[in-house]
Amino acid sequence: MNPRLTAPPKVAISITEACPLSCKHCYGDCGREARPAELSIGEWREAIARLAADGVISLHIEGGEPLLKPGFLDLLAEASRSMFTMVRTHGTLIDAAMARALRDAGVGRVLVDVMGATGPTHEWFTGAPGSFDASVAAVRHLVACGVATDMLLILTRQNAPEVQDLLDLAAGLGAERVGVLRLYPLGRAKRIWQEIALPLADQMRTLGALRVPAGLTLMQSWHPNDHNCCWQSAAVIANGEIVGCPYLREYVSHGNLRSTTLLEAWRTAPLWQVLRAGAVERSCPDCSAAEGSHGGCRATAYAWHGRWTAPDPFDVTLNDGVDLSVLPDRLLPA
Amino acid sequence: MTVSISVFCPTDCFRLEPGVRLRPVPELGHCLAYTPARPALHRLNPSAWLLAELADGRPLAAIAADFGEAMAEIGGEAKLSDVEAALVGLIELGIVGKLATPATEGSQNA
Repeated sequence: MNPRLTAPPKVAISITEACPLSCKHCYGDCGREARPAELSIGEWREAIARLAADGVISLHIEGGEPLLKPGFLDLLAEASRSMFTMVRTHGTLIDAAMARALRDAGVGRVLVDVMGATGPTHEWFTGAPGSFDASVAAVRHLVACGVATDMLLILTRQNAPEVQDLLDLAAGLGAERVGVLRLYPLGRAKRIWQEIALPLADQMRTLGALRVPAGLTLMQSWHPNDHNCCWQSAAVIANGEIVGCPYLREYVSHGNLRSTTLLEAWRTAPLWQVLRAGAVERSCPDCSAAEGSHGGCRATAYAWHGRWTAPDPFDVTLNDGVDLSVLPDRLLPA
Repeated sequence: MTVSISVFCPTDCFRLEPGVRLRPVPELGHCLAYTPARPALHRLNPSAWLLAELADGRPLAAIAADFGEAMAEIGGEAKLSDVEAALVGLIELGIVGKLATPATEGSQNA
C-alpha cells in the first residue's frame, strides 16, 4: 500500500486549452481560442489561494499554453509568493523580455516542450513553421536570466532517432534536465496513434542507447523508474474538473472546482481514494524499490486494460505481450 | 586534540528568512521548505525541520537547549557543534537567517 497523505502538497493545473500551435498529438485537443467553460483567471486566482491555504506548496502549471491565459503573469507572481511554481510551455512566446518577466514573477522552474531535436521533426508535430527555433531560443533566454530550465520530449516513432541529439542540444543550451516522456493515448494522439507510437522494445532500445552529457540529468519513467504516483497526485484541468493526474483527464472526475474544493474532493471522492491506496495486481520489484510505489502508471494501465489495478504495460516486466503501438478498440476515436 | 571553533555567538538570534514557508509532511517524516527569494523547494529531515521550527527569533543557546531536550526525549543527544552545522546548512539554503544585532547593524552602517 502507498503512504496516505491527509492533504496534497503538490498540485498540477492545466490553466487553459488555448494554444497557438496545432500539435497533431495534443493531449488536450487544444485550439487557438480558450473554451467557454474554462475557469476565468479570477476563478483560478481564488482557487490557487485556497490551495495554498490548504497546504499546497508546489504548483505545476501547464496548458494549452499557459502564457496565453490573460493575467497569467500576475497569477504566477501571486502563487510564487507561497508556492514553488513550475511552468510547462512550448516556449514560442518566451523572448528575452518574457524570460525576465517569468523570473521576476518568481517562477521556480520552466519546462519547455519540444517534439524533436530538429525543426522538421518538431514542426511535423506542431504544424507551426519556425516553432522549433523559437522553443530553442526560449531555453536560451531562460537560462541566460538564471531560470532553472528543463526540456521535455514525448517519445515517438518520429523523434526516437533524435533523442540523443536533444540531450546534447539541451546540455549545450544550459538546461538542467531533460525529461523523456511516454506517449499517452489522449486527445489527438489517439487519432494518429499507429503513425507515431513505438512498440515497447523500440522505446527501451532508444532509452538504453542514450549517453547523458555531463551536467545534465535525464528523467524518464520506464523500467526501473516506472512509478505509480497516484498516491500524491492532484490535478485540475482548464474547466475546473479535478482529475487526480493530468494523464487521467479522459477517465476520471473527482468533482469540479466550481462546486467543491480540491481538499474536499481529496478527502471524499471514492475513486480518488482507491487510486491513492495503490492496490495493484502485480508490481515490478525493481521499480518498486527505486520509486517506493507499486504497479506503475495507472493512466496507461487503465488505458490498455480497463482496470485500475492492472499492470502497467509500459514496464518491461509487466507488459505481458501488449503491443503499445496499437490502441485498444475502446480507445479508438469514433 | 581537536579544538572546535564556534561560528556563532550564543546570543546570536535566528529566524526563518522572510517569506519562507514550511509545509510539514508528517506522513512521510519530513518537512518541505519553500524559499521564494531563491525559488526552490527543499526537503528537511526531522532534525533540520525541528531546527527550522525553533528558529523563531530566539538565540542560539535557547535553540540548542530546546533541540537537545527534544533529542534527549528520543534517547539521542546533540552537540552544540552539530546544531551550529545544521544551522549553517539552513542558512546556506536561504531557509534560516541570523538576526542583525545592534553590533552588526552598527558595523554594517559604518
